[in-house]
Amino acid sequence: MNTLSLVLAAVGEGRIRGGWEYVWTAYGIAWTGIALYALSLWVRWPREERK
Amino acid sequence: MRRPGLLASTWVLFQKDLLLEWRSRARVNALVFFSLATLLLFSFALGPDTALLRRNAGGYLWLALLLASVLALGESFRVERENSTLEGLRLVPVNARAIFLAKAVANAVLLAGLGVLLVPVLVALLDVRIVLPWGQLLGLIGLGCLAIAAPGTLYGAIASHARARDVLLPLLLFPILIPALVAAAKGTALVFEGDPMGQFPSWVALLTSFDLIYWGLGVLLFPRVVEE
Amino acid sequence: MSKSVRIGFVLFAVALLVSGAWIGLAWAPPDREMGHVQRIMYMHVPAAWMALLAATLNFGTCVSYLWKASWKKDAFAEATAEVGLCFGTIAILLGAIWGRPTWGVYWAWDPRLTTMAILLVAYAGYLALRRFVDDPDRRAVWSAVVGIIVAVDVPVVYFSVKWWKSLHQVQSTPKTVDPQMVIALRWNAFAFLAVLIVFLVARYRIALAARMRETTVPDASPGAREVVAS
Repeated sequence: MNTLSLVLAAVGEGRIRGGWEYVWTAYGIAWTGIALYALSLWVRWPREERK
Repeated sequence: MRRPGLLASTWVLFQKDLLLEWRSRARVNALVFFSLATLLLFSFALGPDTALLRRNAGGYLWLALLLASVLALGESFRVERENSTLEGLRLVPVNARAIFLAKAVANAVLLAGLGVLLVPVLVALLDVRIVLPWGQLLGLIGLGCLAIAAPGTLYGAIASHARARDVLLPLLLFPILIPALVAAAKGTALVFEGDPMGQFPSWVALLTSFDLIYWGLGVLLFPRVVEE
Repeated sequence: MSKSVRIGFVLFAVALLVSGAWIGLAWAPPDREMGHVQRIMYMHVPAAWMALLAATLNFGTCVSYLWKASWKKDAFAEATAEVGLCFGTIAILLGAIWGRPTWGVYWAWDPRLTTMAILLVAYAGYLALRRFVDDPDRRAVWSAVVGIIVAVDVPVVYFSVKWWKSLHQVQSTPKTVDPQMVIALRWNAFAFLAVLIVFLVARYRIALAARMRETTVPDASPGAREVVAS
């Protein structure tokens, strides 16, 4: 094995590996937030009063 | 009858507000003891590492002042509300801006007095030293209390007429005071620890900008707050 | 606006959001340093932009209200504050999730994060004020005053990364960023803008209906006061 791959194996490429769980959590929170707020708007939507 | 000028009205109302405070010395005393108690609380909650306490003394001072200000500001308007004096003043007629200036300056003076009183307490309790010149500390206390008083008076007037006024005033006031709090606390910490990198002027600049903006907004917007 | 146009726009917003998610999650390339964590930016940045946009709209409306009062303006101010708070909360949460793998911490006391947190708490206070004042006229005037005071923080949030070089990155320009990433960001920005519009219009309708309910009194009662939405 040459020195470069040895060093790279030790130091890494300076890139974060994977991280998909963070991505899914983030997207999940964003969609849930939007959905919940939309739901709150739906619930509060003014219904025409019948006199 | 000629309406009194802005400065004249402000001066008269300012004297009135200070006189009210002096006459009810019990309230001022209560404020002093409240701040002392707060400082003690911080020391107990975050002690007993004296080095740590000394490093954070600037923060404790301004937190104590901030908490005391909520009481002082609430009181300042409760008195007015109970006797409907604000409406009376408006009928004289007094310029609403004079009411704001007088009240805000009176509140600032009260808080600054409290701040100056707390400094020897800090020296004794937390073993702080005043490394930078005294004048700089006094100036900082003045600027910081002006920063609390302007939005505090504006919000005090609003909160005193709303429900849950005791909770509403700090809820409205604290978030916007954070930049001033940071600047004042950091500046005070530099006064206590020394300022090798010359950061003190930049904190003063931040605090001064804050004061200019919020006093300007206060003078501009207060009449709308108290109008019928 | 007819009902079909409204429903059409809502579907359009949803379509943009869904396609934007696919673009952000699958189509855009991973970052050289951040890897896939970069994809969070396609949600975080648009959310933050919408929050600041809502805050700016709130400021404009508050000033306009003090200039010439109208229930429509008051209703719109209420809408922008609440919707802005929603997007701002999403932005700050996503920022924290992004910060964990990149900075190592969920939160840091850097100026942009601090001033943004201040802004959100301040708008929560604005909404609390509205809830605690019963008289609609006073509520409108006082909210306008508070809205203006709170808005002082908005330019501070925006320029904080430039004024204090701290942890949060400075705004990047499209010239230095991979074009695919630029497209992904812009697509999602428009998606979020569409959602913002839907939310604002809906929340405005809700607020205005509440205002009308509060201020129109049946003719039979004494001291009846009818206010026409101007």
